[in-house]
Amino acid sequence: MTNEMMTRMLMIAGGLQLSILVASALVPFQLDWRKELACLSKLHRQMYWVYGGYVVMSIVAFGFITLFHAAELASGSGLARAFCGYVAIFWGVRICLQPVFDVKEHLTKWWLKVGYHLLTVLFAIFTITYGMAALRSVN
Amino acid sequence: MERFIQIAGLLQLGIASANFFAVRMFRYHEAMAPVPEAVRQVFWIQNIFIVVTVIGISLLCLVHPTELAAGIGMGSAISGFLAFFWGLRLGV
Repeated sequence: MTNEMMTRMLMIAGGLQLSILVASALVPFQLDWRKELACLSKLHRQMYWVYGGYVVMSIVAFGFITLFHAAELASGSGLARAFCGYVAIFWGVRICLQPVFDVKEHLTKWWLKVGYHLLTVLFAIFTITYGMAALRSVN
Repeated sequence: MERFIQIAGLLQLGIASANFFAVRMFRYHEAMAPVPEAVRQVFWIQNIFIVVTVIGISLLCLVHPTELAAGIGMGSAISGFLAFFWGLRLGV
């Protein structure tokens, strides 16, 4: 695969990662976090929100770093491969956890079901794209 | 600068390992028991993501300090992300 093609694939993956945030924004409402987390201690509730914020921030960073530095990430340099490997593992772990989620009762509308399966496809695309960039040799 | 980044990488590995002790210390299993399963699962997944992220950035710092310290391009962007990541944590 040429550098140009890899760059383009990474740019698409970067943009798609930012689109994942739409789904992330829906989760607190769909699972009614405000009500459900009310029974937790203040510390645990804060941890929940902070961890959620950090995951969102990481995805934003992956998206923007990829969009602005796609050519460098596709170059196969040491840092580029390490970063892509790290992002591939991040999404690879997420896809492995996908079957563990007990979400059926929350997928009450057709668009939520479609969105859930679309997310699975996107996680696979991210894992494969970044995995390919991580395994590239220097050109 | 490279040495500082490598030391930061080591310290971040320490923080990543602290997350494993936090499970028992903050009694996550007990504390999360009253919430519905889907909400509990999100919490565990968030934890796993945080650990993966901290280990990932530790290794980037340990193995590629020169590129991170170069102050150009992607290295600079990743360093900026790490500074923001920990700066925000300090604020919280």
